[in-house]
Amino acid sequence: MSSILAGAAQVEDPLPEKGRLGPWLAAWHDPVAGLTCNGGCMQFMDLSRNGDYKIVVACRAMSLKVYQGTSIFAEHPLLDEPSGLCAFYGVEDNTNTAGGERPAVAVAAGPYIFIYKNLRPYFKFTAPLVEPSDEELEIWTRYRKGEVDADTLKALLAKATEDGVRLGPLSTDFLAPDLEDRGSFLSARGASEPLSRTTIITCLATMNRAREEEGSPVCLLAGTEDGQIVFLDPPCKVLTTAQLPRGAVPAFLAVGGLFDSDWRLAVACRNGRIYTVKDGDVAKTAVVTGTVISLEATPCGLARLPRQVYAATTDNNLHAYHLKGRRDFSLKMPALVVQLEAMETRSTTCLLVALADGNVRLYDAEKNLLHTLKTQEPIAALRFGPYAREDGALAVVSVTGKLTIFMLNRKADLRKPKTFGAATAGYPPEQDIPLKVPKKTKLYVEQTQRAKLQAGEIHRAFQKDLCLLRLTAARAYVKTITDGRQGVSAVGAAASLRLHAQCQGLGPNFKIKLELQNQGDRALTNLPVAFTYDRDIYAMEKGQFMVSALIPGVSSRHEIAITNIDEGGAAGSVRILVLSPSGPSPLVSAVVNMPLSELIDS
Amino acid sequence: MGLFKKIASAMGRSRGNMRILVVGLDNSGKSTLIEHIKPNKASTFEATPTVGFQVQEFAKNNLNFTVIDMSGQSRYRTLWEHYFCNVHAVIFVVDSTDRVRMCVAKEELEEVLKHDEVQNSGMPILVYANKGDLPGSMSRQECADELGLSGLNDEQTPWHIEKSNALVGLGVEEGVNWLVQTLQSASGRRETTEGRRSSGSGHK
Ligand SMILES: Nc1nc2c(ncn2[C@@H]2O[C@H](COP(=O)(O)OP(=O)(O)O)[C@@H](O)[C@H]2O)c(=O)[nH]1
Ligand SMILES: [Mg+2]
Repeated sequence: MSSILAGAAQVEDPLPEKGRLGPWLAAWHDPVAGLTCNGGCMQFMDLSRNGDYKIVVACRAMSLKVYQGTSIFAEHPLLDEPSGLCAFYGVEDNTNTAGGERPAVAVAAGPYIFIYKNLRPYFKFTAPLVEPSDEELEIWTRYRKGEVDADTLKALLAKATEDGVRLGPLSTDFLAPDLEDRGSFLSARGASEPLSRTTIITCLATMNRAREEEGSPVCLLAGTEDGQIVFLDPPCKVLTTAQLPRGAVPAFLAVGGLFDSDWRLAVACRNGRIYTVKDGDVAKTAVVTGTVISLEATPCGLARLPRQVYAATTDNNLHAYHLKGRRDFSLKMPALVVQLEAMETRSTTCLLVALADGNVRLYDAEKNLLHTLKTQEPIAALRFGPYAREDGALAVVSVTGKLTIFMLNRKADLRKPKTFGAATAGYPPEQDIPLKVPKKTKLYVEQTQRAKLQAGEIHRAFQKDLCLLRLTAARAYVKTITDGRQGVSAVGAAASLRLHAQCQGLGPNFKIKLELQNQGDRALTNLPVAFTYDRDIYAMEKGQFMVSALIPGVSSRHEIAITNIDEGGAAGSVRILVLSPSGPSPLVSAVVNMPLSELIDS
Repeated sequence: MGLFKKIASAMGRSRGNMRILVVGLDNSGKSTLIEHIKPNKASTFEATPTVGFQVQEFAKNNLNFTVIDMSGQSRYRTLWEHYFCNVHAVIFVVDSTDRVRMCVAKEELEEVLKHDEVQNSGMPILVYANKGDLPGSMSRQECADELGLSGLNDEQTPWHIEKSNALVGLGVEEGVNWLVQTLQSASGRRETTEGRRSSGSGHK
């Protein structure tokens, strides 16, 4: 039936992603599971004791459901709306001599704990009656002795409620505004009815008795609306009780240790305090210690890791405390925390934080965010534990009752991630990486030795090289200021000059043709043009001349005669410099390599 | 039974040790399957979870058979990777009724296929979709899809899936027939390419 419905529902309800999701493997999704529960009402349990773990859920719709694999294994109606569920081993089974401890399920509802064995109701435990407060008792005693009349009784009781005294059913019924006949009420119930009242169980937990191993006998812990923690030897024997201060209503229990030796219990209460209850000096007693953690808001989740207690509060904070009560750190969560769950694997213990926005965050004990699992919908309940012969499974129930199961990948790396996201804190990972200091090589040692012995020579050699370097630099500088730039020059910012030189003739008389072009946008005037040449080889009529004006874009041509006077007809080069009228450095220069000259027979 | 006769003839003239590794999640029926195909069966076999691994050695048809039955419990699965050496074939058993752990079986099968000795070595993989007799068991095709077998390259990793009932041996024969054919054609191919391949896939 479930699968047919599931098939139909999948049309509008997309299945969550398949396959690997960080450390998780998406195993199964049932969109029509219809579970209405919180995390305190769901647990993994090897009910058949064959290694095939099942999920036991007590639904608010008053049914106890058991899942095996991907189907419902059993379903039973509950007698009342459940407030907590604990599955445990330890109810003696007379019928089975070999197995000994049989699995049982305890469901808290109202003032009762129903214990199911083989999924059948087996025992009902009623929370111990609460004695009336001194104030209430005194008022009624005075009435019963005849000291006060009905009107004064009513006034006194009304005042007591205003003072915050919790009244029993007799007083509240008497104060009820719709009570018509007070006289007959008092005559019927007022004279003799006991004032003690029942209480309501708010949370359940188990604590192992003598051995840590799963499957060994446990002690059942129940918190009540009146601030009591009742320690039960299942099914019904009260071992001890602990009374929390007035106004403290336990909401979450986090257990550590063994009841028969030493243990420590953190109790998060609705008044925003976490009390610590531990074993007393006398065996099998419990004392509320002075360690009280004050939270800034109402707690909405509690979990215990080996060295810390984590508490989530309704102001979206996650606080970690050392077991002795000192705060370790706080983290801001992006949404309301629905549940905290300790995740114990064979190698480490991590913390799962279920958020109202549908994400499940996975933190290691050093508050590093390892992974965020995105589920489709706001979460109502979450549990981690063994399921279906797999050691680590995560069951998530959404607010709309969908059940999703993830399996922890055997090879998942639950150590600190290499990359640090914004949400993670702590010192940077580089701090752990030692600096790479290279080893002193033989060469290095020899070099330092040499430097010590021949310091003077090394210094002189260095100074000599430095001088040479400076000389080279100075020469290069002189060259640039004397040559200008070859071919093209920049005159100021706006003007630039192009020089083109050519030699014509066979010799000994040559002609050098110059072409000057102003490529800037400003006219230049009175530019000296000079020639440098070897005076043993060449002779010129005029070693220089002036260009009176150079208009932009117009090229001016000049011809200069030059004669080779060398008897052997040797060739050289002629350098042409166009000088600036103002500064010493040439604007532009060009070198003309002269051809060999024809010899003249003399 | 004939299984080992078939494997023996499949191996042709190669005599010696035949090693088959049987892996799969715990409770999938590996030990039951092996017990069923052993030559001299124990008259009453009661399946108890295997701890670590169990090696079954028996001689049949002039061949020494070594069948390594690995435990499927998650704390022992790390052992698998150490036994692929010198193995000629892998049998992967999956419980076809265990839908919730199909993702885990897929992950473990992937790990097997990724192993150096298996990858690209042409080692055949035979998958048994076991417990086919139980109601609610998945079909061969469903199992193959869930395990991601369809995406495998048949050239690199010859694979086959067979629905089985290890309690009575139904389907076991068909799977074995395939294994025999595959090993035969592989050894035939290897004879022709022997000169080129100096390091073979482990068949001796
Ligand atoms: N119905 C059915 N049960 C089987 C089948 N194969 C194995 N089993 C049962 O499954 C359980 C686990 O078998 P076992 O061989 O120990 O699995 P292993 O852990 O893989 O070695 C035993 O109770 C077997 O009887 C099968 O094909 N059909
Ligand atoms: Mg086995």
